[in-house]
Amino acid sequence: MTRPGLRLRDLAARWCSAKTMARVVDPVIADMQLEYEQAWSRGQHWRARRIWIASHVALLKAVVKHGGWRGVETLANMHASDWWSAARIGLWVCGAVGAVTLLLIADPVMSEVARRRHDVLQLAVWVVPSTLPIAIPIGLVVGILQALRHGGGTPASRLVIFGLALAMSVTSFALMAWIIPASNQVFRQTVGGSAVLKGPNELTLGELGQAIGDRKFEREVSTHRYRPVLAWMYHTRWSLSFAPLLLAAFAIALTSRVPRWRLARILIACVVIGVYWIALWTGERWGARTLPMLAAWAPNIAILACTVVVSRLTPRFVTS
Amino acid sequence: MPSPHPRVLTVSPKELLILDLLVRQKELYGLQLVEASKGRLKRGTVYVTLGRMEDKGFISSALEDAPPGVGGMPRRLYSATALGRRMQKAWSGGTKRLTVEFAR
Repeated sequence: MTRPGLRLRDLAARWCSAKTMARVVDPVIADMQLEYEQAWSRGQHWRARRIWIASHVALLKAVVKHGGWRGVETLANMHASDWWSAARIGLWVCGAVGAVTLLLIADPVMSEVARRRHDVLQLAVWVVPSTLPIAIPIGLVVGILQALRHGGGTPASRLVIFGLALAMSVTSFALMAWIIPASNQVFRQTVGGSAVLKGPNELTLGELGQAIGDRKFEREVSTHRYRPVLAWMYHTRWSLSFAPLLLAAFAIALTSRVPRWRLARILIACVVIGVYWIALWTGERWGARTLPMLAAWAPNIAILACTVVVSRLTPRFVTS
Repeated sequence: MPSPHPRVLTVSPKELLILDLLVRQKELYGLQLVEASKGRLKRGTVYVTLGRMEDKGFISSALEDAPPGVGGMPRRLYSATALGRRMQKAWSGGTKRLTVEFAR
């Protein structure tokens, strides 16, 4: 019988410092192995399984709490060089997000301006919010790869990256939950010239949640869409908000594990971003009507799987 | 670079509970601390608190050999240091004041 927790320990060793391993991860796994094997040898197989689950939850809680505490400690002990490095990361990430946003809005804005319908500024105000949830994850990965092109960075720089990713996640959520629907509705009313009834894309997150269970809405407003599609839209707004955090973890893993071959890193990043958008597109095409929640979260699951695979490329610490 | 300012050592209620248990029982494993605390310490987060206490110098730990006949990874055995005992005495005795430890 393989001892429980060894695979988990192997995975944790690729992400956690030697100190975290010795102080937090190893003691929890040692307790789990002892309790699990005692219960199993007494024939209490269900109790052993319960111990296995409880220990995994306990380990997750411990690592999160320890990470938070170490984060505060790292922030308090940051030197001038760390702050300079943080500023550099911030500039690269914000610059990359800005560049991707410009690339994405260039075509629609220029074609509208060519038709002399609206001025550039007015169009940008309408289009930029809709573009940001796509530009943020792509720009974040590009910015991190560029900022950490010489290696995985210090704990301080990783902390700054997660801080940025968290801020971008919150921004994406606010955009998709409230700002984009409002902006879409203003755009429709401006173009239509009169009051226009809200469609699914113009509903805020709360309104979308209510609409899922509202047959009247489905019949009157959204005749071509079914309730599962509304559910897919609802869950996608949540899952897209988590994308910056997951992609930041992936980019850090990539810069730590593939430090030498810069071209390989860029290629892997392009493939993974491609996988993300293909999973999102596939989910909308085929999964939205059958398994909306799974279809919405599938891209994030794919990124998590890619991060685990990249983390396993080379061992960071010797594990036993 | 060591800080030029003296470190102010404080004891949180959880740390005081752990110190109480360790002073009373001499040496305990993390899981035994959880059991002895009667629900006040949780099995996952107890190690975060223990790690912090080791950093402060209140406790020390040593790896013990795997239990005979069971195998598995070695467990960590915790005990209170002299500083930990002094802190426990000071805080439990009602003094409840901040102890300033100058740079060691």
